[in-house]
Amino acid sequence: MSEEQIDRNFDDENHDELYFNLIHKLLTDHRDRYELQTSRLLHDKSIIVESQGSKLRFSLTPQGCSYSTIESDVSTKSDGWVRMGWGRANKRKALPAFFARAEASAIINQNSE
Amino acid sequence: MKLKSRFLFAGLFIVLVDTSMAPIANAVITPPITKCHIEIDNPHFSRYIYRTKGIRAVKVNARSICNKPMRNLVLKVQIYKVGFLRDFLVASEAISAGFVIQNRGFKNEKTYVECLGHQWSKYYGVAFATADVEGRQVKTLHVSSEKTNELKCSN
Repeated sequence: MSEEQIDRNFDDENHDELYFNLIHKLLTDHRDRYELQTSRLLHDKSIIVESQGSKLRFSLTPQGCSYSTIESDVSTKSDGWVRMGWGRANKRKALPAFFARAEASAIINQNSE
Repeated sequence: MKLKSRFLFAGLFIVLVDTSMAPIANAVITPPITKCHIEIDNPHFSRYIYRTKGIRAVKVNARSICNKPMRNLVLKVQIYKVGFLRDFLVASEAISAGFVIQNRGFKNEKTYVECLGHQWSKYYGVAFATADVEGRQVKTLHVSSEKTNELKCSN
């Protein structure tokens, strides 16, 4: 990508530093919990996780996984979906990072208010 | 140049429909009631995560801004990958806010997809928003990123 193209985009370097560091930290600190949640989600297809003052619902879809904030202490909320592929193996591999991503969003939303 | 989309007002729509039925001499261009729009950037690699962790992730950011206070704003960003027969949604992220003061940009910078392989693929972003402005629910058109960028990223 050329410099010109980069300059046309928003300057998201500071945001990315906070966001991706948080995801990485959560993934490192809570890997065991995320592995357990992955197994539960693959079995139950939908689970509710309470974390950082928010209740998040994770649901498997045929090609990926979605999350939505169902209860939160703050008015800023996030919902998301990521394509992971059809198979269970692909989902098992991608889900721990997805849990970390959703929780990072919830934490950033709380800190932004 | 980032693409912009004016919020569509139901009221404005009615005015446009009414004037289209009137004689051309009476046609009046009605300016938008508010100056609200969304901006979306082009798909790009997050430089930070690549530099620090060696991970390649395609990101698309969007921003909503309005000269009136907005309530119940939902700003959604989607990343599409261009496919052979059709395009695939690969990531979607919506951020909602209870209240946003006037002229303050509200950003969605959380939409990304991690690359699993190194094959060249084409990506573009789509953003849209809904909000309550002056007691009325308004929504934007779906706005695509200016460019479909080919990036060394497959998933």
